Amino acid sequence: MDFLKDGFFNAFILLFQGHDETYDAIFTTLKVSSFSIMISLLIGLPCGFALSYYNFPGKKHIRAVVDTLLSLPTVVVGLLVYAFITRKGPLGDFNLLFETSGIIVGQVILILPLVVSLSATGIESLDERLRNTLITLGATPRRILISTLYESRFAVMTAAATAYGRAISEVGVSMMVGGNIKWHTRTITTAITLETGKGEFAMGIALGLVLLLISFAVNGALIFFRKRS
Amino acid sequence: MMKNKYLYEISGIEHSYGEFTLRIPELKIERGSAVGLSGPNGSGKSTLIRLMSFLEKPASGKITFNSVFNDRMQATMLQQDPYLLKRTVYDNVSYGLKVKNDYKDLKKRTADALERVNLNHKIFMYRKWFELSGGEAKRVALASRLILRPEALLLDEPVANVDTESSRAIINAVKWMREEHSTTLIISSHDLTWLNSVTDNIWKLYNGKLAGSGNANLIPGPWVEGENNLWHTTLPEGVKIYSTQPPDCSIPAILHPYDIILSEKKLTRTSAVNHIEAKVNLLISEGNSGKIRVETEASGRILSCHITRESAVKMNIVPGKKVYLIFKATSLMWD
Repeated sequence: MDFLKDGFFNAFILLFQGHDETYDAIFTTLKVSSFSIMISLLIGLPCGFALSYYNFPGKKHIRAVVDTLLSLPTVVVGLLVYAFITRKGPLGDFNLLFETSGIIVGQVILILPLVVSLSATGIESLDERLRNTLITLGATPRRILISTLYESRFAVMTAAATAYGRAISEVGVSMMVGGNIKWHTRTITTAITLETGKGEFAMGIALGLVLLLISFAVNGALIFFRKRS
Repeated sequence: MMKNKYLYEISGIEHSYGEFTLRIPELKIERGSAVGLSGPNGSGKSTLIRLMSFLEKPASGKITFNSVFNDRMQATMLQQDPYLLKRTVYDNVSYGLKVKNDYKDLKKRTADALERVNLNHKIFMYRKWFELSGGEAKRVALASRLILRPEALLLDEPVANVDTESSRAIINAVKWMREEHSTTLIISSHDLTWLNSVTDNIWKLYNGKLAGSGNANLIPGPWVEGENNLWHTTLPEGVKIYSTQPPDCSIPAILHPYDIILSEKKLTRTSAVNHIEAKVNLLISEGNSGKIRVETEASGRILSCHITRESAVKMNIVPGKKVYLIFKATSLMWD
């Protein structure tokens, strides 16, 4: 068990001394997952609103597809995105493979169904009198969208926190699409996988601790939003 | 440009929910008037209010407001069970002005609107939505409509399920809106006494149709054939009202208040078959006409009749007094 004890000891040294490689993986992770969540919210919230607020043909089928995509395996997303953005793929000219932008594309595909489904559920749970109230107070359709999202803000934030948690902890997309390139596309999860394989526990444990810390923060936020909603 | 005398003009509207259909062939509402809508549950009051608030479009027919088809911004509605946004009272009341980008003196106007519904702005302005009682929430919801100074204010059962203080505050605020801003009021309520005290005219709805206006009493069916070519319906507390043969067993009868004789005693040897025991609820002076409208409760239903001021004094008609309403079977009219 000494290797674990040494691993924890060295992990704290790495974190407190500001080990460049460790912090690069942390910053890459935060950068990639933050862009992913922002893009997913921008696309997913209006989609979730439309899916819950309006009635249109095929609505139930779309909802069923979105709900099914909630359990997309990360490696399957990684594989599909890889196939599309590889040099020979249809999107090969965009040079996304082994770039952080490629990981962002994969993560957006992975977490978008979560944002759409959870925000739609949150908006559906709102009182139907809200729409009448907003209309009778003179709200325009754009204002109705914004106010409805604001009224369901705790549910929307829960959706965002859940999606962020999934993005930050996934390994399949980052590994397959990003390629785990040091100083470039290496994220916390791909670094842990690599370092553990090499028998270098210190960096793996240090990164694991940071990941746990982020997960606790996300989970704390989730508990807070659930209580408020 | 001279404004049309009528704020609302409704013609040939039909709107259905399941098996229920609201049918209004024609209805005109004058600018600045106060119109009541009464009728039993499911008669179509709320549906008509929703259509007139432009929350829904009628399946057929048209509703014009200020001679245009949709002027949602000038007609606002207070729902029976209003919804407050999950924000502070200030944010709720000022919401309608903010959506119009009208930020001038926002705080002062919000405070004024709150005071208008008898809520102290210093205490209530920054309370959260969940820190209000049912009556306070309804008053905040009304304040958020008053601040908009709408041309038409539609209220669906505004005093249902609220405490006396809130009810009084709502009545005063609504009356003030009409007096100060010439707002047209359209109010639906089960409470005929209250409705009579606020409105000029009451439209009665029954089974999705307008079944009379003014102070006419509406006697709902079903009508059952009895003896001597008379038909009857039974009031909620068991008393029967007799009529001549109705064109349809399910339609309501209209009984005009001036067809009812008010008596202190049960009369015998009269040609009238209906002698209904009732209790006086309210006496309302009808302007300078010298007439008094007496509102009574008879076997669980409100019935109004007219008497002169002299008769009221002579007979000592006061609220709570037991009286008899006497009218002929032929006095019941069919629309």
